[in-house]
Amino acid sequence: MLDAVRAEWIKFRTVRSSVVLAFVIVLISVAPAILVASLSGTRSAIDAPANRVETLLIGVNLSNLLVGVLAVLVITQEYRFSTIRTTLAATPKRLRVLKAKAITLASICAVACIALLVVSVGVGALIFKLRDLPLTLSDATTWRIIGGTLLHMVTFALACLGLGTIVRSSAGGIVLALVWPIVAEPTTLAILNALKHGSWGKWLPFLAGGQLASASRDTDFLRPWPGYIWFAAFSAALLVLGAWLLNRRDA
Amino acid sequence: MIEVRGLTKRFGAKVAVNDLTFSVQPGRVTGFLGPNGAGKSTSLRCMLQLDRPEAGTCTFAGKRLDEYPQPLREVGALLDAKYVHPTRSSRNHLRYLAASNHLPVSRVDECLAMVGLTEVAKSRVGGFSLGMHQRLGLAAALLGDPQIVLFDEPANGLDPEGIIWIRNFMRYLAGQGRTVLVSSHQLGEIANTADALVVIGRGELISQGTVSEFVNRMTAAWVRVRSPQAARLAGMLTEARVSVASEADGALRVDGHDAAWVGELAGRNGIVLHELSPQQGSLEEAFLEATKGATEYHAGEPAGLGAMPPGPAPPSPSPSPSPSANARQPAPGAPLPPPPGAR
Repeated sequence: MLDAVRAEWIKFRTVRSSVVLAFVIVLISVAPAILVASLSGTRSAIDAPANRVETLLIGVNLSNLLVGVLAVLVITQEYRFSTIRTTLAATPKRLRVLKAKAITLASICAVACIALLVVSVGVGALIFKLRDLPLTLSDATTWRIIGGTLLHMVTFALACLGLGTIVRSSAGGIVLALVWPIVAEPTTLAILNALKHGSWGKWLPFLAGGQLASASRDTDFLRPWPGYIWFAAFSAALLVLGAWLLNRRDA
Repeated sequence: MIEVRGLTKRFGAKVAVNDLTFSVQPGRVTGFLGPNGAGKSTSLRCMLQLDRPEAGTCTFAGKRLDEYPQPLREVGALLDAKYVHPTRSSRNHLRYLAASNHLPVSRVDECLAMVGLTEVAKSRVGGFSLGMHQRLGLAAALLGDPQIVLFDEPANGLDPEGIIWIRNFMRYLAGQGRTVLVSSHQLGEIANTADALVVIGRGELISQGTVSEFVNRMTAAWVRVRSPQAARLAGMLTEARVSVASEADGALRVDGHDAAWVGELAGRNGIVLHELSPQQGSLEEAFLEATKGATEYHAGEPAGLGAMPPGPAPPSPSPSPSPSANARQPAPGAPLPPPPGAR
């Protein structure tokens, strides 16, 4: 298993797309934190520490989308260039390949996200401090948001890996990873609301998962932890479906 | 040793491979022959567990591929040299394969040197020529120093020099006692390389065995006779109800009897012979005979062009040396021929 993970790590870092995406992710994660910390008004709505931290993490949450793209590409590029056949001829136990991809991707995301959180919150807090707007990191909600951002990003990446494994095409996988959470679910929610079934919307998995990284408490949604657990279970289901298909389909 | 048992693979309603059973022996090059669309690549993919067959098994030295913890050390395959990521370097391509089977990085550099890609090891594969792709594919197949190697149409797109190189490479591998299975739809490629053949058509086994067995089975032996008294001899043969035909150069083609019989007949009747030679069909003839009716797509006449020029000339009945007579296997341990263009 360790060998398979090493192979996946080499694969990940030796193609241009991942390097470029990683660079862009850093850029769009950190830049908004600096902007927000420097330019936000002194008496704006972000006075509560949790709200203030949340605004510092706008960029990190935005970069989720690119993390999703990256996760989709981890598997779909293998199909696009048929290296999946090279890979599976060397590792015929297919589930091992998918597990290795999941472990590698989750580790990369976790490390990257921790780094981005430290930099975003650190730089933001520093700038706030220089402007005499101290940022206290003592309350539970603040830490729930910081930890939630990390958990959500890793889980979202794994969900997208599952989606990519199911659809196998880069274009299809990327469209799904972008459209589902930011277009399809909000639209569905709006439709449900219009039909007076808004409470059903709390079961939309990606929206439910996002609650853990959010300071606002919208009572229409699942509470942060139940919401995250539902999202994690849904992501696991996507991965299991992907694994099942990977194992029975022709490569 | 490769053993394929009852392999069956369908794509929807189309049966690509039907109850295919054959075995491949070590120490020789086995050609996997069949017309386009015969199911060669599908079979190879099923053997490597890339395609999921409806039925059947394939074992390499007694075990399925997934029963080996590090399959690259047992079975190396070159399916399509384009199965690489264009923005990855050839060295990195081999490195991840090596890592997945716990092979040292030093082996990657060895293999790159073996196929003559050391100088471009760090360039992106996207800029490679087809020949360079093939060499990278070969390096990948040999990464784990496997005892069994599978090549799918390895000479496709190579220049003549590259074809000779890859052919020598295959003989060299077989000379070391490895099991070498190489698919092709081009006879010329196989004729000078393979010791044994597995011939399939429409997904079914047509023949397996050595090249000479195949030729003997699929083509009839005949006797070529030249004589200044050819007409008289022909008349006697016809009288004896022996099938006789005239060749383009005036020689006679006698079917159904061996050279001794024809020579004795001529001798008893005082007929002078200038040539009396037993003939065997060529591999080409054998192949065409074997796959008759098994080709997927027959060339039709192009519409609106009027009469077609005559189709491909029938196989030449001129004397063909037995393909197995050609010099083959280099001595075991002979140095590997340098790749073309190796610097």
